[in-house]
Amino acid sequence: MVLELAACDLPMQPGNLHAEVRDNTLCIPAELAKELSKLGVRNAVDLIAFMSAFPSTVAEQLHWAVPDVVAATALLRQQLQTQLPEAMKRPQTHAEPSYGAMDPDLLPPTAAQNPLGSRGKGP
Amino acid sequence: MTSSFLSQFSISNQLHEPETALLAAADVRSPEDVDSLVRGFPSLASAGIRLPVVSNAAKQMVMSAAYSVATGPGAPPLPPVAFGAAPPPGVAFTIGAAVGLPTQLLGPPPVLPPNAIDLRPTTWPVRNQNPRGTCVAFGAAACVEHFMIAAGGMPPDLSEQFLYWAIKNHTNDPIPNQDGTWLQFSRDALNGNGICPEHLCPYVAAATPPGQPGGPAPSAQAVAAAAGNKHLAGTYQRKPPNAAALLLQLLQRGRVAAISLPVFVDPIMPNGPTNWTTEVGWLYGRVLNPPAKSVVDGGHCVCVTGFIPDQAEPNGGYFIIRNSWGPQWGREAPAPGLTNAPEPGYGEVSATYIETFCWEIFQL
Repeated sequence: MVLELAACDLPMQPGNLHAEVRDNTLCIPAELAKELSKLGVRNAVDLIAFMSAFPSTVAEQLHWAVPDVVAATALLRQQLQTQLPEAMKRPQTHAEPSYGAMDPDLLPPTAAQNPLGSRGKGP
Repeated sequence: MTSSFLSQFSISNQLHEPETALLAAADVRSPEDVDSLVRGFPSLASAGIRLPVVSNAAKQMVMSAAYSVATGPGAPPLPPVAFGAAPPPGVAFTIGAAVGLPTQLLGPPPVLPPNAIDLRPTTWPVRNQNPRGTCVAFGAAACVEHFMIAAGGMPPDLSEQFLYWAIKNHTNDPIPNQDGTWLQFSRDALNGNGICPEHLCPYVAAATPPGQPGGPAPSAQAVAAAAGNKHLAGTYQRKPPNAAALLLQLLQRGRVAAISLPVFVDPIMPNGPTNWTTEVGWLYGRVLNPPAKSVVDGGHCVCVTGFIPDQAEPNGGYFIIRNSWGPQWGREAPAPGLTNAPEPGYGEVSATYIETFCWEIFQL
């Protein structure tokens, strides 16, 4: 079951969102829900991933300290144990993957001024 | 009746008789007509038309003409792009340092296509760049592989290793001794050096020695094979306005495209997950929109293979991407309700993310 997020008028305190499961939705404080909807955070699974990866944003939005967000995330994960997909409950360990794309604004002018490609440098 | 343009085009590019006959029947009168025809009707491949050959010949002619105009007498000077220029409006920008993002992510009103777009062929295993910063070569090589699928039915396996080596050794890439590059130089390497089959220049999955990001030089056989498989870009755009709409238009031509985007982290956790490697990234291929407090932590290139309209998404929906991190990323896909990613190794990026942050777009 996917728990979609819903904005509700809930009492909350630092370290606890006091989120509630109602039917197929997860009710969270309206001030947080509004911000998350702009960011495409759609459901409980997204919410936990977002709070884990970007606690600064949540802390600023709720006027909490970052450790409060970390605590609230752990509490929420525990609260939703039975609703989360099995894959979310298994420990995940991944080596950070590699990237490798660069910002075009970092190109020096000589390289950037060649819109039709490099010529005359073939093997 | 064969036009003088077509006669010249056919002879100079050694087109086969059925190809010339088809172009004559379509009444093509310019290289743009030819390119438009082969882009619009990929099924011509089944009629024996060598789409890459014909398309490349047309683009070569267009490009030659454009190049003469752009560089000939009286051509306007190209606008300079200074090192580290063009920061986000009102934001102090320092390479490698935190960048405060605009809080307003919304682009122009969306233009929704009526249906989802899915350009994936039936069999096309995702690749893995492993610990090297070679994503740009993977994104561009995927475009070529997809382009050649239309002509031959089965996807070829092309050498990202060769392409990355060529980028680092035979283009104007300003950091030949460091990892990472720009799609611009993938475009140049595909044009100048081509790309060979994977078996002639297998990917080096381990980190290369310091100062040699391109890895070992390929064999003469690989170089020769690549020279016979050169490709010209149909589209290359740097930080385009209306990037999401442009990308959508490109997909509607029936071809995939490579894009590069910045990657973001929470500033208090610089070694923590990025917006590409959260739990929902690894499980469902979900790339989260960067929140206002996040900072740029490098960039990533992927191949865009489709689009899913979604009225709830501010810019109209989600682009489907083919990543180069193997099938472990997005490994639980498909998972209806949780992701639009169609299979492991693929993911989704919102149109808003692309609209707001796209660095480069490349399509054959």
